[in-house]
Amino acid sequence: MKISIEGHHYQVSEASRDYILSAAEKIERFYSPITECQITIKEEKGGFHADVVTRVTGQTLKSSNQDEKLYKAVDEALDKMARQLQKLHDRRRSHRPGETESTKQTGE
Amino acid sequence: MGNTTKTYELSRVGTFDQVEEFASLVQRVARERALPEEEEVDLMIAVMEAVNNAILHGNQEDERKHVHMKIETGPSEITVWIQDEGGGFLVAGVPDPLAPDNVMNASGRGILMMQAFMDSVEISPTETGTLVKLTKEFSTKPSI
Repeated sequence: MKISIEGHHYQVSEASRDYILSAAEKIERFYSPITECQITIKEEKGGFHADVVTRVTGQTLKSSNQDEKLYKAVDEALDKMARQLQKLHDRRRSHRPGETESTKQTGE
Repeated sequence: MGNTTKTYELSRVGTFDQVEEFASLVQRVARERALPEEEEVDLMIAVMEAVNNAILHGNQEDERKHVHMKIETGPSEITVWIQDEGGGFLVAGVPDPLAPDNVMNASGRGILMMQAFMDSVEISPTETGTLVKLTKEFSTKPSI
């Protein structure tokens, strides 16, 4: 997965970059393979805005979050993305013959 | 105010680097309508499936062609139209993605995906391409 981190009118420090990179790598637990994950940080009045755009085969998804703390803005945006990816993963799997929501829940 | 219908429109050239703008509009609508996250996720996945299909299968990634999106939110439902500028296709001509021979194909499951996340999916050929109409009823009434 290619991960890119950008600051929009905001300089992302090396320490923050390392933290965000480590947090972003975890979303592959929910869907694999992920082609690309772009994280954009904007500093706003009263805090930070984090956008996460993820590309997987045949799909592009986006999640966002604002918080007064940078790491919390990023963590929650990534959590939202993880929930989208989990749902996409579940639906794509459930559309295969012999594997339904109920078998998936009880059989795995 | 609660019964107000609101319309949003966006047209962009059909390239994958423009896709994010369609996702941003979906987010904006979900935020303005105060949708629960669960419904925002359903809407995001279904709409982005349609947008990706429009670029890939509709416009065949021709950068001169556009994808047009219109979203209408009413008091009890949201309707999204996605129009491409391709040659159109017949739904009946799409191989059954659940047939054993097709199960490993990545394509063909898009329509099923949209149906899974929305209450209604209509796909119709037009003179200028294919029009996909997605409708979802809200689980909650507007807060304003």
